[in-house]
Amino acid sequence: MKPLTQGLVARDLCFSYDGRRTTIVDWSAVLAPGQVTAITGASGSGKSTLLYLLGLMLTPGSGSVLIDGERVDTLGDTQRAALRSELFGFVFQDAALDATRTVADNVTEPVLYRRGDRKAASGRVPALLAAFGVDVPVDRRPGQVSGGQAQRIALCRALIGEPSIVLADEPTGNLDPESSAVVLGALRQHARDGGVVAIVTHSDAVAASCDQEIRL
Amino acid sequence: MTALVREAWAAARSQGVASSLTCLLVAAVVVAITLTSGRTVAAQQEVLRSIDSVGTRAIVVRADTDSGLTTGFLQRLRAVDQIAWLGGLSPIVDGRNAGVPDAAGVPVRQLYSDDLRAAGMPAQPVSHTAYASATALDALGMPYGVGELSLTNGDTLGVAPAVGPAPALLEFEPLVLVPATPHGDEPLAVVVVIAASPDMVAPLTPVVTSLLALDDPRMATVSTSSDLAELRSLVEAQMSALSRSLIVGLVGVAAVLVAALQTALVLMRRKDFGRRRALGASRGFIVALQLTQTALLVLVGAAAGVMASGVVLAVTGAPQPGVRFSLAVTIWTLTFALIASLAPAILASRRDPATELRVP
Repeated sequence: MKPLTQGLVARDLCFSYDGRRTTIVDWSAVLAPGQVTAITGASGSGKSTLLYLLGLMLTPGSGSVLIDGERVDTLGDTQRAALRSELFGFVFQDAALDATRTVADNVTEPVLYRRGDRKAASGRVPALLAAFGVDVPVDRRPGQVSGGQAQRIALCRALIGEPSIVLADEPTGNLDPESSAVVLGALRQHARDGGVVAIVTHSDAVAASCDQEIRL
Repeated sequence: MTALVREAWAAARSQGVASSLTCLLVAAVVVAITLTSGRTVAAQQEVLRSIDSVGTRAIVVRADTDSGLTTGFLQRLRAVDQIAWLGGLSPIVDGRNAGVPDAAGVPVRQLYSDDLRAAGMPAQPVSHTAYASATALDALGMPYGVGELSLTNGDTLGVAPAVGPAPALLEFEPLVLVPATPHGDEPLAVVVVIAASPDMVAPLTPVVTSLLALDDPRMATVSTSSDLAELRSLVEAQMSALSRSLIVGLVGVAAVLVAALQTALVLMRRKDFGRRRALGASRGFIVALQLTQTALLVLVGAAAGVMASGVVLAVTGAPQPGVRFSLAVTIWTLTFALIASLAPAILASRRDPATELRVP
């Protein structure tokens, strides 16, 4: 993991999908290394949008996003894609696994984009899956595993490249308590290892277990 | 690059139905092209070979014995461009099978040329040996190509079979040639000039005539097959144009269908491209991935099509168009398919991760 010193900072972020109705208004926060931040709020308050802004998938209408003090929201598309592959790990709301590929292919997908050694990464997949309690053969398709296992496979995908920043969108939304505990435990451990972790959640229990809560 | 090709191949394999459809489509087009244009090309090649066999590229200079035409003329012609082969034949000496004194005589000529293989002889010929065509061997009564030749000038030569002499020399059948190296200006009766292409016969003829340098130009005649050369060019142009139109038409249709298939696939897999973009794939990577995938499928389909059409042509006894034709069709199909797939590939690269990954 490339350690960050100042973490991920948002300053006065504004965003609107249609140019009229503003989804995010003057939002500022510091997501420090070593901390798990919960982003909470009512449905439609813009939690996921905020995560996409912080993850450089959307460009803010105004305001700025900084990583370790360097402004990154104004970078070109190719540079932002490179940053996503090098520094970020994402856990999406519905796991977003490729149903046509194997579990191993899904977990090692980010390695492809950061031009890493995918074969070597594939060798680490069984151990990573085992660490998160996913007891499925690596050549299985995502359609052959449960929802809880799929979300944990998505977590493995987010962590395989040891990213500096992990952004998770409702990672425990559809999980049983046991799977939720595994996922949250892994994210907390990642923060303890020096990573920046942000979790969008509806759950008060999840938010309470985080180091910081930001309500929208 | 290897990682990209591996990913494209894995992605193609994971989309079995669409990939199989693309391969089948390309294979069908290659079969259609080979069974239509391929046959035309094969027929064209046979027609051109037939025309060439009567020497469309030949310029033949015939001179009287005392005309003064010598091997010096060959020396002067060596400096001329666009000549594929050059040979001088000495005046005839009669030869007979030494083992059959009453046998019929055949004309024996010395051949002066830098390229003996084009005249059906080995590059390093055996000394004191005459190389005879099948017709000459028949006339000499040497069906196995072995024997001894007795010349009217008193010399005796061994005989070996000539293999595939140049078509332009066949008009001198029965052909018995003795490879020779000029020592000074040796007299010549015939000089055969083979132009690099049929189109070059017309411009080369006056050059050859001007280099004759005879005291009396009337003692030599220069003959060409310019009419045949024109016919050849016409046949080649017409049949090539027909083949090209057919190929472009069929490959164009294939490209449009491949593009439609790819577009449908991209629209069906919007979320996958959104995920790839979110995880850090650049737009360039997505375009390269899609194009590589198309290229791999086209190559597999084309290979299958070439093999299938080869089998069909072999079974029906039709002439095969050849490796170059198959290679050209594959390259054309690949190029057209890649150009047509560019738009769907760009469409795939423009998927917005935030939109595609949003859960309602």
